[in-house]
Amino acid sequence: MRINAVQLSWFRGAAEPVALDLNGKSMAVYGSNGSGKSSFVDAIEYVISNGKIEHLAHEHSGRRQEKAVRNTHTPEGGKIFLSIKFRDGTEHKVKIGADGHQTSAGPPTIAMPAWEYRRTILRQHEAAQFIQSTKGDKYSALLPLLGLQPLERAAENLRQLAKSIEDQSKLPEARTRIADAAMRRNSVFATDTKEEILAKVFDLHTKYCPDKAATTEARTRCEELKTSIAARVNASSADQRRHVALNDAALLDLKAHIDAVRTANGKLAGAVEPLIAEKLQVLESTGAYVDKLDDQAAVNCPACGRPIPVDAFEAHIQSEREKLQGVIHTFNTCKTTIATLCNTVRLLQTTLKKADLKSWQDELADGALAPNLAYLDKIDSEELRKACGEDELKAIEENLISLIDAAASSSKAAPPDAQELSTAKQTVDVVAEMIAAKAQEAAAKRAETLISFIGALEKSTRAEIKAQAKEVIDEISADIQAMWAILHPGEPIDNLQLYIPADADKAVDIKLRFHGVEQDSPRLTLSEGHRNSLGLCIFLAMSKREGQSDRPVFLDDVVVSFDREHRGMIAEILKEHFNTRQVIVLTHDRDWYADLRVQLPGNDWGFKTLLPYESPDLGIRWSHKTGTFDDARSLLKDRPDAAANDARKIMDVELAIVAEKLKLKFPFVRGEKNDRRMAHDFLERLLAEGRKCFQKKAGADYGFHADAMKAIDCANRLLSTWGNRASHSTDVVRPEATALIDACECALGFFTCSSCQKLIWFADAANQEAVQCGCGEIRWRYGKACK
Amino acid sequence: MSRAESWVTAVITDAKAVHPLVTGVVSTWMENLLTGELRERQLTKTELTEIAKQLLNDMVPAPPVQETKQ
Repeated sequence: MRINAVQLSWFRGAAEPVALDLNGKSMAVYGSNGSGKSSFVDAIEYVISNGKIEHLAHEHSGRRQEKAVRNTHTPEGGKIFLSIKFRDGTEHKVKIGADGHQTSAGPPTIAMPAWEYRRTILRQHEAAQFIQSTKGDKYSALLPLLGLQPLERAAENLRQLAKSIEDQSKLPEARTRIADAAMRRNSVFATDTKEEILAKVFDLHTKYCPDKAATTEARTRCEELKTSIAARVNASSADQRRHVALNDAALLDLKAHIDAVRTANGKLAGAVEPLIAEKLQVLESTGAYVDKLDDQAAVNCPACGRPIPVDAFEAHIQSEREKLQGVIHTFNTCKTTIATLCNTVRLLQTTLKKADLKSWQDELADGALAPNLAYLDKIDSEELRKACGEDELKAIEENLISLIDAAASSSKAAPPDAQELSTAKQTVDVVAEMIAAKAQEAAAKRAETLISFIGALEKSTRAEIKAQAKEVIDEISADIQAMWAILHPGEPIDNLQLYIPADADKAVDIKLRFHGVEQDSPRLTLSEGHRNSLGLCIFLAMSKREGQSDRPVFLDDVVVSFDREHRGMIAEILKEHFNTRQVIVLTHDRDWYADLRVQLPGNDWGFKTLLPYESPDLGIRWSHKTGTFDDARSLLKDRPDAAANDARKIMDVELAIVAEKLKLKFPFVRGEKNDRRMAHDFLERLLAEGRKCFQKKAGADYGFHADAMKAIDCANRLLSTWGNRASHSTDVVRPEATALIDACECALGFFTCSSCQKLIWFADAANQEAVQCGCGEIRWRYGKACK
Repeated sequence: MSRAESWVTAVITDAKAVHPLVTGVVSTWMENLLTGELRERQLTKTELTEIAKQLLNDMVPAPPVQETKQ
């Protein structure tokens, strides 16, 4: 959406309301340093960035930048506001309180706060920022243009979903329980086959559940058996119950669990210790890695610090990730084995504290195992879960194994019926565990399949992101190359490209060819001026990509480091690539501004100049002229000699353009050769040729433009006298300088038609040997007919 | 069919071919998620947990349908 006007009141350099009137057109604005040009750009940034202006973000500007955004001389009751009016008649208004608090309202269809700063405004110091930013930042800057946010979100959601499934399915714990059940099976049934085990269950079921002969499913049989056996135990004598309980304790395989924790701890230490040592190297190697990025033949891996060829980098990173995954798995296994040990300890506590074992405990309390019983009472399984090192394992081993042995020893003296009941109970418990483990194994397999499936979807999504990003990036690269070719025709720096590095996600970098040699970064070889030039091309190529939105583009003093040759070509880029967009160019470069006035088409572009800044009370002020003589006038009061000298410099520049456009008999070459010619040379030539060539309409025909020649002659005489004196001494008084400035401005003014306001070279005349203004009121005949 | 939709269908088909144990319910649901909810916003942990639970449930193959005689 095109902007019609940007109005400021007591904002930054502005005092009473001042407007940059654009009327939907592009605009070149000239203003000397400090004249207030950037205040208009600040206003746009203020709205886009929700009340923040990046270059004002510092400790002195206040929490809401209130000390920086308001004019220092805002009078009491002075209203600070911004207004951006659009071509469709809508307006975005911002009121700013003295404390910096802002009230902002704008049309939702335009939604200025959603505009991307990095594709709307380019300031002088930002030109090379993109080049110097990290690969990740480059990618972030490009991401909105790529239109890939939905896919990025999908990929991230998939990654998180896989993690969530892993958490929900408790895979490591399930695997440990499955392994535990297998261990118990081997301990109780040794090499018995599945059928033999089920036959045992069948026999027990027949014996203990005679009334439920119809049950055939093993799981149900086990459940029925558990109930029946528990009922029999409860109905048995105290002595029998004591033996069953002792047998329960004796069957707890605490030693195996201690060994499992010890093994897992050992594995974890084995995995973690070298990993920690390796990771310590990362800090060192990361620095070395960054230093060596310029030489991509071999780099130090940021994960482990080892030198590695770039082509092997991706595989190496993958192996590092797998190594880390291995450690995570070992860590989880260790946690699970500790949890199992804690559960076993708690089960031992519960079992030995059963009322049925009260007499047995009393016997132990008077004997050598009294301390062991006290230890069992005191041990906190939750604390053990947090810290279970070798000291804790040894204590458990020394104190609790002997208790289990004692229980086993006592249970051996059990009467046969109690022994039989206990064995049946053990058989049923282990078979029930095996059945549960089988179900868990199936669930774990399903979870693993699901995680792998979602991982594959994430991988494909990331591949699609890369593929789509490449398409867009290639298109942007083509524009960068085209713009670079305009700025640097025939130069041996070419093939500039944005690209996605093969070894990274969410990264973009720039490469180029320098005198035929491929370079991985512009920072290797490009000068500051070239880097800024490339930065400008990248900014414009990215902004161009948003063509459909028709948002304006602001270029604020972006040619500071450009030399004249390259600076002059920017207008060509604007004409070729931005002819349908609104562009606002602000500059303090008078020569470039003069060039732009000539180069850019007057139908699409407007030209304005700001008066030099005098005081915050007066604020930003526009000159009523498009020329730059007001700069010279601002010096009249204190330094008339400088004012006259300034006028001469303006004439040097402006007349060089006039001479070139009117094909005066000089070898007119744009650039430095004309820089050595003075205004006086051009005026002499204009006077010599103008008497025949400069014509004004008189009725149906054309006649000699006497007024123009008189003005040119006057300017020439004053420049030869007072102008030269101003250049070589300070002996020029204010009236002389005033007359000189007025004469120069008047002389140049004759090259613009007073009727149609177009320059005399606006169009070729019909006979192709003359140029004329838009309406044909004035013309310059340079062809044979003039001789 | 938009580019996004046709791409998702192809991706699901490829992944399903490599993971034949994934049920039809899960692959259909993932296809819907990939063209919709997963793209629209970053899901919260609670939402992801809920989806994870349901997906795990849906990974259990449906019991075979028994034919009934009229």
